[in-house]
Amino acid sequence: MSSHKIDIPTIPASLWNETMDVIARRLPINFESFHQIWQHPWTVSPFWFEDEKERIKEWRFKVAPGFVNGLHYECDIKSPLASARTIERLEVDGKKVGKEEVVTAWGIESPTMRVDGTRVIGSGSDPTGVSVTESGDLTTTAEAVPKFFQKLGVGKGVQLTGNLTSGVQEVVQEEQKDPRILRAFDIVMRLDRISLRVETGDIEVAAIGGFTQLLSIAVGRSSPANPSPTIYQTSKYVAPPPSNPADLFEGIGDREYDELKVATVFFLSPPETTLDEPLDGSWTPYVRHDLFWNLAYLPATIPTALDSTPITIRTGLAGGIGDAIGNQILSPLNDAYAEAVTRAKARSLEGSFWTV
Amino acid sequence: MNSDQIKVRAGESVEEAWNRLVVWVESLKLTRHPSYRVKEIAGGGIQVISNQVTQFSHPFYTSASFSGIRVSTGIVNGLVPMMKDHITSRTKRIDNRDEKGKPIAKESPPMLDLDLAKSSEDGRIFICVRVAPAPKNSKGTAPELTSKEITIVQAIKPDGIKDGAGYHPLAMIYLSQDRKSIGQVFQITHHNLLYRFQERNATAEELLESPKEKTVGRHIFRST
Repeated sequence: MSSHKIDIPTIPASLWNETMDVIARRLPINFESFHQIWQHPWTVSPFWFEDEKERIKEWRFKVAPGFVNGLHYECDIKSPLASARTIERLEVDGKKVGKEEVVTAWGIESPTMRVDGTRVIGSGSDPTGVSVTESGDLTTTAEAVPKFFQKLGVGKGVQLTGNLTSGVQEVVQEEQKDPRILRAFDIVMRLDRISLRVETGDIEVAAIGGFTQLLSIAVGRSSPANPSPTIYQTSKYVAPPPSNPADLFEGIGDREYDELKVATVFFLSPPETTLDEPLDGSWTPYVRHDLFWNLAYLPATIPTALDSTPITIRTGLAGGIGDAIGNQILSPLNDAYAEAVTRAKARSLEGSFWTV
Repeated sequence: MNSDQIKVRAGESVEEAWNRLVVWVESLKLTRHPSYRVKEIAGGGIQVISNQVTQFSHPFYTSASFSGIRVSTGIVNGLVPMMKDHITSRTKRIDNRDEKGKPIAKESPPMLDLDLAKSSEDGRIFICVRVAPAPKNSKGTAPELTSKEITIVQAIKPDGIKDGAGYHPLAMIYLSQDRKSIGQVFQITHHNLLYRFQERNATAEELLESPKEKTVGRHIFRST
């Protein structure tokens, strides 16, 4: 029987221990976690949360207290995420908070929110739009990947180009192999305000024995306003378009709130992650803030009714009775004219935010 | 950090040593945090420095204690506000200087008395700057604003009370659940301020409510 010698790779204990010394040197030698560092208002702090007993593994985040007009933000969260101070405040009147009840937490009570949904940016993302040139060339557009993440290995994603007339299509593939996945969601602050609304009503014009429609501007809200700002999360925030004056003439009301984006939270995957892999603790969070300071807010001033000279008729017909009848007919028109000009002057009560 | 715990032991297999190393490395995972700064030191080691607590020094920094409220220097329209010092019962500039800007020797900056009983139903107290411009003279012009018209006061609401003056919140004090002590102080204002009164004529309803109010408007505070 012939013997066959096999070289088994081994690591001498001395080499291993020398390697360990190098690793120990190369790894962090001293760090400590503390929360005393100054945080600017609206600072977002994401963190990975695990509770084996409750079988919870999820990304959560906190938002440092932020104020608008001296009032801190509020948010609706499920009671297990509320702080003891929130529960104490709610139960002060003897009310018992249910286990999964949605409660309104104050920003000054250190509420925790769980990350609900995210969007993909870059590799693996869906196009958000299509741009078409006059010659018929079309290109799909998608949310741009910030350069910071491109350098960390996130691809720009697949881009489709083509021509409407020739039908030629081209697919611009990823430049990077095995790009890292980037997910994100946005946190938005909303503040209720009053709005402009057009109301219509019929008025009877006795002189002509008929009805005429009267338009009027109403300033108010459909529901009571919350004076405190509220925050919410969305996978992708799209700022509402500015009010269109034509909408008011169509009877569409002005918005009843103003909003600002607080921050975007990005999650960067480890290398060699596929799109269908879950967002777990191995991903690294990054926050891009849009708000840094507390704010003051004022809505636009409520437009005052136009002081216009009404259109009148002076003919002297029928001993002046004809003028009276004519002016009565014109009266609603004058009102409508005044309202129309007022509406055109102030199409929205959209307010302004500024830092304090 | 002791690297002995990851060195191989007699009779230990490579796999065992490796698994111990993995656990050790995982335990050292450094989470990204704004307070961490990483730098390479001599010999190839990496040092992680956690920034020590540094107080952000900004205008109108408000601190509260049982002794009272202190507010660091800040300006409104280029003027230093005044605050009633509950120790001397005098109203002084918060920078502890006299009207000519000369430091007041042997005295501390003013400290506002904090009345815990004057809080909102949910235990909030606001420290506000109050601007009450002097009334217009017979020619209809308003006299120039001085430090005397700009004071720091305690209020239940961030916009103060309806007394014709403008209020702007500097900080909010959240009392403990029993309302007997200070829970936490939240700074609201971090910048110097510019005050303007946006005037308009009183409406008929407003005149009915307060006939003496010839003009009404909005008190606007902006950061500078």
